[in-house]
Amino acid sequence: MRKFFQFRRLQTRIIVSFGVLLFVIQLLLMLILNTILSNNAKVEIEKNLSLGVQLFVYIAEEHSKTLAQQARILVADFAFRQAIATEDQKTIVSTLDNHRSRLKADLMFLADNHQTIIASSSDSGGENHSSLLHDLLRLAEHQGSASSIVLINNHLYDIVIVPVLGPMPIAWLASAFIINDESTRNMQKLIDLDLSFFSRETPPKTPAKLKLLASSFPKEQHRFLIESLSKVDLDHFKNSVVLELKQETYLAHLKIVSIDKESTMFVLIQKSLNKALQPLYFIQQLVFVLGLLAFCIALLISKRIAKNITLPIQTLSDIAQRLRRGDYSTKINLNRVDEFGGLAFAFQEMADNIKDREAKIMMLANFDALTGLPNRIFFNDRLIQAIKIAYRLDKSLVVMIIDLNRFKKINEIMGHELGNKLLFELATRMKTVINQDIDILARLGGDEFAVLLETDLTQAKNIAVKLLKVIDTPIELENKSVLITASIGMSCYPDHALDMNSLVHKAGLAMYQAKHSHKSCLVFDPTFEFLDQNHLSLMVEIRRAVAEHEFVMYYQPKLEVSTGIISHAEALIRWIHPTKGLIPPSEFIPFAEENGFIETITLWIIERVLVQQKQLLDAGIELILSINISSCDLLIPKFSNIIADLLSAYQVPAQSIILEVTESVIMTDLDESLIVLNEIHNIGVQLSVDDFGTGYSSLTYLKRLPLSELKIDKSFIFNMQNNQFDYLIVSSTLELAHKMNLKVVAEGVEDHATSELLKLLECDFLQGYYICRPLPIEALIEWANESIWRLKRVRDTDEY
Amino acid sequence: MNLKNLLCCYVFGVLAVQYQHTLAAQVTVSVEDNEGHLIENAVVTAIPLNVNSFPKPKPKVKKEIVDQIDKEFFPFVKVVQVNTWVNFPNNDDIRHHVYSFSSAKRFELPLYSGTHAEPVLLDSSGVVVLGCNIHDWMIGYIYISETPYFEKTVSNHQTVFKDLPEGEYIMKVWHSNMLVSEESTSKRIKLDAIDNINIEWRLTLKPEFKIPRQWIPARSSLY
Repeated sequence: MRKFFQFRRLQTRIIVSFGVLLFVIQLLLMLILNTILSNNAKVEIEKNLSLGVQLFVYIAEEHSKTLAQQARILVADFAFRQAIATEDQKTIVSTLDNHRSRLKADLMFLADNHQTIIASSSDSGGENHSSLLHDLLRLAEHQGSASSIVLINNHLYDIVIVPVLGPMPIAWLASAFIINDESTRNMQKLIDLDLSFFSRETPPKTPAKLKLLASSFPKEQHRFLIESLSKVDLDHFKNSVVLELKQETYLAHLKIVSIDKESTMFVLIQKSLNKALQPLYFIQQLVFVLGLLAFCIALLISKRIAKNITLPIQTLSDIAQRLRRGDYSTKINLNRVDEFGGLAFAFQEMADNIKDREAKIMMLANFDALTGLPNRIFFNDRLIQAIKIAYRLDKSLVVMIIDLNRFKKINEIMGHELGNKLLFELATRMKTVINQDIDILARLGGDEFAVLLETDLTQAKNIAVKLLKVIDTPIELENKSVLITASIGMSCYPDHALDMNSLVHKAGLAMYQAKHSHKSCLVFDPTFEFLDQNHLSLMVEIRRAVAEHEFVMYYQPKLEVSTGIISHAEALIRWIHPTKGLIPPSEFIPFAEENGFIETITLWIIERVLVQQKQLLDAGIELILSINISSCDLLIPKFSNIIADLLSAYQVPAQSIILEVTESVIMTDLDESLIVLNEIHNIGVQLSVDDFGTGYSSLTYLKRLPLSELKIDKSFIFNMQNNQFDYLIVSSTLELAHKMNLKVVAEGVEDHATSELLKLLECDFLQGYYICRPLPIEALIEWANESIWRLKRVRDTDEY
Repeated sequence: MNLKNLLCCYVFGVLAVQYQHTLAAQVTVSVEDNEGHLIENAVVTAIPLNVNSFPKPKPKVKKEIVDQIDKEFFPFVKVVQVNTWVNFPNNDDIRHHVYSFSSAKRFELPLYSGTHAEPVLLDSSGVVVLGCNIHDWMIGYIYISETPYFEKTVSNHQTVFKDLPEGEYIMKVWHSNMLVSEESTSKRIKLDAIDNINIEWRLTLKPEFKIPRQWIPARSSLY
């Protein structure tokens, strides 16, 4: 049922709502009208009936008065009186007959003063009515005359009794006028209402026996009249009673016209409701027809209104469907000024805005907001298309991945804002190299750029050189000159790969390889793929190595030239991989530096060294141990505090360790590094510069650092005997360092000659295979006991 | 002639009264209604037990009069001894039609005016109800008494029989509206010479049957 009312279409809903509303209103209207009219009609009938009753009473009274008057006139006739006075029965009877015909009475009786009937008109029937007459005569004698309606021999009579004066009443004349159907019909004509007379026994029996005596209804209906009357409570009727008579309903009033000791006579005055309501039925039909007409018209109108409403909605809905499909071309205009017009306008605005936004999103989706270069999506898209074209034209393509070296660090140190400026500057520079009409320069993300070249590898290499050149040129940012390098990897279609993903991947591998091997540019080689896999797993393995104690500290002793005693040693980390064996630090430290793992490793190293220094002391060996720290370590917050805490925790004096930093530390941000280094220096830890001579470090910088030691890179030491330049560098460095009050350590001392030479040059410490290779602590202790070199022995434990 | 008659009557009357007064005792009668008020126009008669003591009088020359004044009989009740001539003079300027259907005397005096009507001899005792055929309300009574001893009551004082001779009497009272018969009011009394007797009757009267003098048009019950 509920479903039935759920009209899906708005138009149908509007029409149905209108229809239902109208129907209800009309129904109510009809009901109200009907009620008012039928009430009115009933009131009217009531009024009619009560007037009818009054009229009946009046007419009946007047009638009996007239009769009485006529009778009086008759009995005033002297001859009549004389005739009565004769007391001659025959004369009296004939006189009565005569006068009966004169009065047109139906019966006539003469009674004496003792209510004895002394004569009656010849056809007056038996004497069985004398008792009723007796009562009436007594009444007449009492009040001078009487009239009543009396039932005699089952006939209803209007009886009038008047005295015969002689001159006092000498007799009483009773004249009876029959009330029958005919006279009732005459009465009906007068009062315009149906009337009937009926009687009931006095007192009433149960069930009451009703006798219909006279009626204006046709004879054949008398039976039904009595039937319907018998259902009426005659003793307790109020105003009106309703009678059902042969499918016709009557409203009736009842009145008792006379009561005697035998019968109660009623008159029933009635009016047909059906007839009275006839005009009402007509009005009802009229209202119904008019209502139906109005309903139809209203439905048509509501349909029109609904159409008027739903048509623009339909149009707008169609437009919305089109917008959904992304078709913004249609101009939306309903040419209306109403709400729908407004809605259409809003739709148009919306479509325009969506169009604009879509363009913006398209831009954002394909281009990099920072540099304005195409992004990875755009690049990949173009690459796919380029591959298709290259395949068809049998041409080659080169994909170039450019990654900035150490950009992450620069970003951390200088801030993202400057980093972004740097990227923007580099992008601008690279744009000058790449012909963007043919080739594509894109920013893949972060510090990674890509170039798509529709050319061969030879050409590409030239372009790579040009790119590196523009990148390498120092950049002035906020009065700072920033030097940045990049690694470039290249892959070639169709030589290395045939699809977009592989080309990009392989160029990436080449770039990583270049980065690892400290080369600026590399073309993809199948062997890179293996390395790449190693690299990926390294992260996981370093984590495991720390947890599983796969790292081991090795120590390489240093010979103090002035005393000839092994007083120092450099701590070197080694990774004993469970399957790959020993992995040198150059294979994982740069990676750890890149991935932020170096902090964990450095701290582990320091702690380990401090523990093992104690072990060495326990074995009676006193060595000042050097620890290599990465430039990244200087960025660890409160690095000096951590060192101080560790020293005190292991009760190791600050002077017994040396921290070795590489030149690159000074390179990146001298000011920041200086603060940390000074703090370390202030807690008493000595500082040493590692691999001196390989970087760009100038002596000016060195002067500002709180250094106490300088280590000459082994590349100079290896060849100093044969290479004059190297010798010169070593000797001058030594001289300079000594003048700056720095101790000098020579690394890579592998033979006796070199050691002698360095002794001659007054180098402070010698380190290398000639002295001893790096050894784990157990081996070192063993070596110390058997070495040809003298070791500094703990003589007095009180010193600590 | 009339004047001579009247004079004769007067002389005889005065002599008779004076004579009786010396002989008879006094009987005071009062006729009252149920409330004790004296009833007027009641006729009280005294009938001696010895019927022979007084003869039926010969028709008298003297004529009694029942007048008709202003469409009424006057007097309303007239008492006469049997065998009395009664004249019905008409004092109105219109005609009357006096009649009687009473068994005591049935007569009819067709339309007449003045004194043209013949006198009527009331020759048997009883009551004559007088009527006028033209004026239904005109009713009068003539009581025809057997005995010469009768009195008509008045409402303002008791009625006194002054000249009843000694002897035994039946006393009766009649009234036009009495419910009981005249015979039932009979009272037997015995009179001595000097007796003073009081006799009382209490009568129940039916309401007077009165026909309205003038015809009143029937009033409509509706208005």
